Amino acid sequence: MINYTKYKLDNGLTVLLHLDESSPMIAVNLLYNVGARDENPEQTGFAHLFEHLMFGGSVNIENYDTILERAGGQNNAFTSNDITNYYITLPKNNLETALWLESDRMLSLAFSEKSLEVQRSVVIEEFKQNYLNQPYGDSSLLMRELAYKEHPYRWSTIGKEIAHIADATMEDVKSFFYKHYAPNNCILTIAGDFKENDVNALVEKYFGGIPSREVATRNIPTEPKQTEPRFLEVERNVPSDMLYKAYHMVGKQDENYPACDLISDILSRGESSVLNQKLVKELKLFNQIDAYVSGSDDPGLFYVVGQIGDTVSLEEADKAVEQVLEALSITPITERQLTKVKNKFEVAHVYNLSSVLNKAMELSFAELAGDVNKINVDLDKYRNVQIDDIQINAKQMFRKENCSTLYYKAKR
Amino acid sequence: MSLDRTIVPAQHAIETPKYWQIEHRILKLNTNLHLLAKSDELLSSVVLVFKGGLGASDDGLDIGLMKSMILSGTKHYPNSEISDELDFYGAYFQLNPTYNSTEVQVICLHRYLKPVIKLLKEVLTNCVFTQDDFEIYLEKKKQHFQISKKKVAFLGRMHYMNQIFGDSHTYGKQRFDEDYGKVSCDDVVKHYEAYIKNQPFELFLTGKFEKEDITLIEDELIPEKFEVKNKNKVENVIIPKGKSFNIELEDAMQSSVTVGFPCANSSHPEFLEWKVVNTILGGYFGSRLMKNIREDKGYTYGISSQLVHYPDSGMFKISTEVGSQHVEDTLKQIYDEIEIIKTELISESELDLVKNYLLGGVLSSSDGLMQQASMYKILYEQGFSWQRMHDFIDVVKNVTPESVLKSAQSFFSQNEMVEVVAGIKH
Repeated sequence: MINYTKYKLDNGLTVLLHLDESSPMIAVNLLYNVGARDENPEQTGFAHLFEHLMFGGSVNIENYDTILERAGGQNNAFTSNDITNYYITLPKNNLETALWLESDRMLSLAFSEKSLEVQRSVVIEEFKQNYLNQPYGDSSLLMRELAYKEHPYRWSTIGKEIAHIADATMEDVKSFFYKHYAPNNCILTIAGDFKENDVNALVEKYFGGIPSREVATRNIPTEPKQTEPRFLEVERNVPSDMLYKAYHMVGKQDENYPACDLISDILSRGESSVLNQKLVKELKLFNQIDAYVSGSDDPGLFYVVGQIGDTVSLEEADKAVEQVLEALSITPITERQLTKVKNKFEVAHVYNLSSVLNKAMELSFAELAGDVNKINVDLDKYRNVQIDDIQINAKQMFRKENCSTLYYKAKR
Repeated sequence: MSLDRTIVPAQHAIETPKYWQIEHRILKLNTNLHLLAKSDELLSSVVLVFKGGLGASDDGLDIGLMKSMILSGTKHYPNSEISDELDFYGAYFQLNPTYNSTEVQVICLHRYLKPVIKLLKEVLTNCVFTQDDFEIYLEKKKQHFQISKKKVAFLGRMHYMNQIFGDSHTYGKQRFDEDYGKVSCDDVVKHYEAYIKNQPFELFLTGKFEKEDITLIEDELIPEKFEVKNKNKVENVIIPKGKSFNIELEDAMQSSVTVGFPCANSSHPEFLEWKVVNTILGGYFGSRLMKNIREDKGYTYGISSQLVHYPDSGMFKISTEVGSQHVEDTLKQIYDEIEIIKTELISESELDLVKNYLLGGVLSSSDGLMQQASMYKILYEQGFSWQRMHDFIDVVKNVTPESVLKSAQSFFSQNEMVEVVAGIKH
């Protein structure tokens, strides 16, 4: 049971506190409700570029990192298609420094030209390092474009193309900030050993005076229902062929999400998983195969990705995957198979909630999902999944007309 | 009253971490137990450390394959049933070879500890490695290597290690396509029998353990007697190769740049001072290399320096992936930064920052039972105790700009610099 206190400041900032007296560190997490899905299709990669700029100086503080490091702290941030999340851990007696730093950049940035220029080029190098200069690196970009036609999930957080980042101007940066960065669009979570009254006073002192802002209303197009199979084939300078399949599935807040998540575990978690047993060991079609869910807020994707053996054709491998997935919607799995993935989930869940930082993040995610207490009932939701749920959801997802397939071929 | 946001909040001294007492016991057959038990934990972690790791292997492939195949079947649970059983209890199993040891770890909910221990015993004594599975995993490794060869970071790492350790040392050996034709299933079996099955180990238990759990572990995991086997004799001699090496990779948009040298390990009396020097140069986000090459020039997503302890040596390296057009200037900037740290006094303000960053890091690394246990294990393997952490804290608190300069000079005088570029060097 994760304890918490929740309240809102007058400016709309949501505050969550979690007391853990055992830790010498304190975690401060700020979740801004803005991600790549909020970007203009002509300016993709912006939420992520912006995350970099948040470290380039705020209105009263020139160097965020230096001050935090001087207080013995560490920090980082990540941007997803749904959110931008900033986090700090530091020795508990220096909490005030963290709140000072975070509140100043929520108030306003320095908007330095030099920082924009440098971070544009850092992000372009990141683009190259993770997507363009890696074998199969562009596969996730291709899959998104294939599976989504309207929804902004069709581009990745790094952006559609380098030009969008290279062309970002200071004016764009400013307008993005005032549209999305505001106390009323943020969840502040503090986890660690503290006196609640002291923390409340500090939060009020640093965040209370920041005016609320008019946050852009989210108006995201719904992805139209896919009605026929989609297919793409590319050829690249890679050593072997890969098969990518993506099926549309529910979003993270849907009641069927735990069942879909468990289906991915049944299919590919561990040596004894269904895909590994059937397609790697028995039929020897793949050298490796994985199934995973994208875990997004809006309806997401269920991926099956496999590296096929050198003497196998993509068509044959693809067919075999479809048969395994189809079997899951016809034949019920055993009670034992289901218990297995539930037990595995439970250990990961317990392990994850053992540090103040992870607890702070998970509390923030639960609050964003509409109910902070989700953190305490999530495990039960997984525990309550029944054999039928697996079959029904498999049937719902694994249809040819719900699938996008990419043959990523090696240039011979 | 409005808030003056230009005032930096008072910063408080960073407290000294509290380390849990690790209980030592000697079990059957002189087996050392290191116990860190807490009754309110939900999880139990069992770690066995066997002597002999990568350094006991010709090319590491036999160990790599053993790692991949370890849960592919046992005498009583064939065809991955062993993995299925462990998964059923939600247990996480890992086998991790290091240079001179191989670590086996299982983490599970305490309520399933008993059946998991019995399964662990099965893995440690009754593994069956079939030819069929061997071929599957060998193929997977081969393919994985083909992909790695297309990555500048992998090529840079491999050739850097090869330059500084040479062909005769496990760490320095290059991997070649033909290696995959030389290893056999029998090599895997032999390695398992010589280094795991009925071999002595050190035992580390962390989390929730009752008295009877420990008795069970002693009874199940420690055999009646250890069987000493003929070990594979491998000569590991460090013969550095060259000072500079470039490997071309067609169409590389980025190139990997690695600079460094082999150095003394943590047994050297100045090692802790060197750690401070390494931090200043490239050991944290605000380091000089990050400031210069990322935050000032925007050449890279990241650059870092590392000081690594190996049982018979140490290794220092600076590594980064930069846009290929920036390779030359990146190298120049790296050498300039090394020159500066060797010749100029660090400012009080920068040193003060690094001190606090390091002290905060030490405190942070003490947070949590599992983290402390894994840190303790590393210290123990290097011949230290918790005292080493207190020594480090003392060193950090007491270094001065003058002492840092001296340490930097002694550190960089150990060996000549070795430079490897993978990708395109303009």
